[in-house]
Amino acid sequence: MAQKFKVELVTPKGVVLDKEVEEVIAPGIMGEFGVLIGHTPMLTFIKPGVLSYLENDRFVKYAVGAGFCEVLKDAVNVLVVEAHPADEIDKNQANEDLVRLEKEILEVNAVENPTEYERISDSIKVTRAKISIAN
Amino acid sequence: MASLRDIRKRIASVKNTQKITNAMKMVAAAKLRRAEEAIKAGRPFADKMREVLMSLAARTNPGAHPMLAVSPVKKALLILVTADRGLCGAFNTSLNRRAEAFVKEMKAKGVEVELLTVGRKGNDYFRRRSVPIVHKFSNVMGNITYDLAGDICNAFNEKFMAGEHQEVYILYNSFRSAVTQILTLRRLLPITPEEEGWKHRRAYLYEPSEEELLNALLPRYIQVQVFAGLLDSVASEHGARMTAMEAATSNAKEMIYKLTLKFNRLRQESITTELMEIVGGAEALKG
Repeated sequence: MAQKFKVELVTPKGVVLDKEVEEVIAPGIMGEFGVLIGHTPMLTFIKPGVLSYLENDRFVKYAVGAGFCEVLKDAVNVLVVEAHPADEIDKNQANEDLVRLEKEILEVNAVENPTEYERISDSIKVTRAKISIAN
Repeated sequence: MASLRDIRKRIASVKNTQKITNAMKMVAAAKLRRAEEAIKAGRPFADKMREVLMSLAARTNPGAHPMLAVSPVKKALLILVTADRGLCGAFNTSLNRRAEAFVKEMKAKGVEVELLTVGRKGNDYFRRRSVPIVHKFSNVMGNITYDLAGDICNAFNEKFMAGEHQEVYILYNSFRSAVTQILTLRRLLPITPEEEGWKHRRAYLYEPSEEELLNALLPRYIQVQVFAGLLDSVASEHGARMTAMEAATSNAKEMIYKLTLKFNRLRQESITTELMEIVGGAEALKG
């Protein structure tokens, strides 16, 4: 049995997850990374994607938006703009959203309106992550 | 002299008003509870963000990012957060008055102030005054999202980074309890780590570099601050409305009581007069 450490997943709407887990895998900006207890303290960005943690030999997954992650010796704090647990995702809804967002992004000029473009492309990535983990 | 019927009508109309104010009070109370929950839910995010930034910004020098750089002020931007609707006591009035005083204060120091209004009431008030409104967000207070805070930030960040404004302030009602709102004026930009109490730091591995992290985190820190301000303002608005409507309801109650008293007295008087007339008539017939 691996040793456990605390992980907190926080969004502006509230604390989504606050638990003792064995391992966390997060989508870092420099690539996906896994964290076990005793990891070197680290600060990095999270890009939209899938974040999962290991508990009782089972991975629990979340679709997360952009944000950052602070790794401490005995805790991981993840701050993202949005987070959706796999069992709360409506796959049909997500598929619809994806279609709508992909249409929207075609209408936005990436050069003229970079922030808007980035916002939509982030939403697309989150929605894709949602679809990939929905059951 | 008001007739009996006039008074009866008056009582009915005050009763209707009382029903409305009472209903508004209940609605405000329900919304207040929800707004309070939103504030509580948003707090951990803001606190964590602050913690991380504290350790990050304390190590870098002020020149590292334009948002940290203090420069002589010629033009400032004031973000005025008001409500979209009235009927909430002195909530909007006190905000507008404070904003006007602020503009005067700054003018005395030779600083020109421009406005960015969030909420319809602030925009309505300053539209006809001599303070320029560079941007407005109206009818948004019903649905505060983190994205909305992002839009507001984008609107002023651009101008700040371009050097058009050297300072950015935010004015809003911060929420203490249902009956107390505190008028709060804060400087958002530039960020001065010492003032914010950024001292302590932790040893981290930074990935990517510290500067890049700082570049991306500072705008988000501002966004969180604006978001928290908006949430506070909404909760304050509902609190203020609840108090105002409660006062209005009890005023209506008092008014109904007084009118009823007057109505009864008038009715008694007219009955007495009629009786006297009948008795008088009977006496005369006896003659």
